[in-house]
Amino acid sequence: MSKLNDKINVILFGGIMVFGLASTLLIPDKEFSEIENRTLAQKPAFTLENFFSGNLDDETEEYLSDQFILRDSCVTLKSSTDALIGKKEFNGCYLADYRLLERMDEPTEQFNTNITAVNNAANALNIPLSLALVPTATDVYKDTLPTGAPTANQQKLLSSISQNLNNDVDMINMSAIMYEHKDEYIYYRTDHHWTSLGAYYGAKALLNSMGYEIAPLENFNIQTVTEDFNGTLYSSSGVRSVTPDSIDIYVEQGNTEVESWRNGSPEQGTLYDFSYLDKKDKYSMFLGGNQPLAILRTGNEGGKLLLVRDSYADSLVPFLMPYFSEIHLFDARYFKQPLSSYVNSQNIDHVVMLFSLKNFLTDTNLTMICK
Amino acid sequence: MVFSSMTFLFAYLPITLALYFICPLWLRNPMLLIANLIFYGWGEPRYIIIMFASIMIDYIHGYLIEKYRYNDKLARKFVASSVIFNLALLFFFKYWDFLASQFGLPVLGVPLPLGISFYTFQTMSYSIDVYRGEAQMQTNLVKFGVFVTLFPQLIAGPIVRYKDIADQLTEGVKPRIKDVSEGAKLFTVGLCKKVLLANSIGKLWEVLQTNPDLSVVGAWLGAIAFSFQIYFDFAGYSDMACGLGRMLGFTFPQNFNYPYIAKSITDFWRRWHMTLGSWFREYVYIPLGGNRVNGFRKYFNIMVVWALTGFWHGADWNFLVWGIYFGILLILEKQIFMKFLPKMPDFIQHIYTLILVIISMAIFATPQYFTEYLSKMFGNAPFFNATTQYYLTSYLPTFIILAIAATPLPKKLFYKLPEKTRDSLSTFLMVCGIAMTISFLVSDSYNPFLYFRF
Repeated sequence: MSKLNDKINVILFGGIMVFGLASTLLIPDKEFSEIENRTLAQKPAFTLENFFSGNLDDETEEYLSDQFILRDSCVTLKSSTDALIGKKEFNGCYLADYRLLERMDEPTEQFNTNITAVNNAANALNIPLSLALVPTATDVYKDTLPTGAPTANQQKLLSSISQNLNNDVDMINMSAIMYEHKDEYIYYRTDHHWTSLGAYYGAKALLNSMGYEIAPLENFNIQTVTEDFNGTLYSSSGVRSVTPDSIDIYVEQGNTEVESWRNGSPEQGTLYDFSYLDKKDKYSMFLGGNQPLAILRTGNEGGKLLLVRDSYADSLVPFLMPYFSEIHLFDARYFKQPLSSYVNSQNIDHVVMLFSLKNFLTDTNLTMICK
Repeated sequence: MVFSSMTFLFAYLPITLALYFICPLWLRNPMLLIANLIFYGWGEPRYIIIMFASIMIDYIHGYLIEKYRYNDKLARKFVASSVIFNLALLFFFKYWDFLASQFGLPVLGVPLPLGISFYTFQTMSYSIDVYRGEAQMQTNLVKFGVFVTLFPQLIAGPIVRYKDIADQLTEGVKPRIKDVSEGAKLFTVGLCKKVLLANSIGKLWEVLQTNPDLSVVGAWLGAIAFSFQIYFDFAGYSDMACGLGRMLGFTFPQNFNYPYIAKSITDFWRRWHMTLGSWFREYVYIPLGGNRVNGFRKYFNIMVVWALTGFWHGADWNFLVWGIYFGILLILEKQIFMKFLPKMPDFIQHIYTLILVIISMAIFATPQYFTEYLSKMFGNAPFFNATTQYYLTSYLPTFIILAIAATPLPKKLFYKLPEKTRDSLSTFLMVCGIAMTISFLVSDSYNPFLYFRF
């Protein structure tokens, strides 16, 4: 009897190891994880050079864990276990009031560098420059966080930024309006972005500061394009108990032409790329996701706006179309041209830097473009 | 390579085991030697050369000691030369930079070879045991190489003395199916201790150790978290080593015996890192005269042994302080505390021991700033704050689980079950344990190796 049990043990133990190895080797590798929204490690090069440099060690480890066939189930099992034993933080996310809130770490030196970069940009430009920093949902809903949960104080950071900016930079207060509407659906529950409604309020504050009045909400024809959006926080936290989000569209593309610069040459783009709705990364539906440069020609009367952007801008930009003839979306992470030379060559009238506060604290590319 | 990695679990282990069992008996040792070298060289290939040097030099020493057995003066010189070689190796890689930086000499910045403190101690035990006649010289170079490099205990112990496995090496080992099965279970237990328990609480220590607004309670929480982390990590490693050894047919000595249920510091050290304690007892304390000497010399011996034990754990002041701290406590217990401590209620003995052990772990865990950390534990901080409350509540269930797992209670309950149930339950738990550890390893990048200083 016990001999049989020993055999079973050996077969199971060996079986699991062999399964892990064989399944990884035999099943074709995935390049990209839709659920986690990141590229996966690929098979390391088994060369002597790689071995003697010691790189093979880390690369093999990453490869085996990224390509493990049951990886997604593993992430879920881990987070369920954590929830079961009372953990409140899941891989940098808090689960609070049926919503995932991303922890924000205290800023590093980069933060001061970026403030200096903005000041430098203002000096180099002879047109108005505005800085709009959006607090993340973690700040707006901080009263729902577990008591004492560590996360940086965003309001304190915002006021310190505003004190250190030169007078010629107009810092737009994005917090007040988000706080005012915090009981509405302004941030996704499973994603780190704002919803289209949040973006509407953001656009309202932004336009206000430039002297425009946004149309009231009831003027928009709201279409829900998906009710099954599980965003980046869903992926990184592994928490599966939060209701999926829905994505709404407020503004139709109309006559706007989008010129998309993805690979150094212009292509026709679109305000909404609905093909993303079939994928995991549904938020990229707005403008088709990150790209170095996009130029929107709205056909409307008005000036030319340059938005130095992160992905928060993608859902906000449709609300700005009625007030500008051209909107240039400039991504400092991918498009390395100095801001001032671009502004001069394109006859831009106003520059707005629009970031989520979190990205502003960590972005390392602003200095590159703000010379 | 470390055991708790995907590379080990999904590549190295299945391939090595398969080859080991496919090989005919005469081929197993050469095959194992090669596998050991790959294991060792995986992260740091250039140090394979140290392995070759160790094997050759210690083998030759063993041979010379045996050859000049009847010329004691000469044999002693060979023992000394073997010890000096091993200590020089250890000193160069582990202690040079620390001492150099204290005395303003050039710091070399050579990375520490994995497990050097373990294998130099093991090979020293070989020459000494051969000299003492407690072990036969190993004539077969491959078998000797297997002893020096044996992968299960190569990088984090237990410290296997040559005489512990001499017979197994010489006569050859033929693991039975029962050994493989029991070994697999023990390995899984160790893997769970390391990945599920130690890593989970290690994260708390990681955030607390550098937390600028640490309260007094927070500092104690951190020290307790680290105490659990190092115990489950280290005991987990030892279990994995013993399990792997058993799968290959070797029996390694036990290294931990529920140290946190100890009733005194003396008792604690009989239960904590037992193979290190017995190494120092056998090769340092007793040769110094042990306790058969008088007065001052007796205390001197104890302090020497404990200062060395402390320093063995890492080249920094805090490790020395840590060892001396235990030396003083052990002398105090011997002379004073033991007169009345055993008469106290059990829980007082446990609390006395645990508090002193937790303080020791705080010293151990904070190389550059142990005085600062200790001062926080003893009042140089606000007593309690919101951050502490957050960590206390979100880790409370984890602490309870760890506290239970550190006692023999789960094992006792398990052995209350009828044998048949135990068999099937252990199979079930083994599969669950592996599944859980793989999930944790795949989805979490936090998987530290704590012995890089050893």
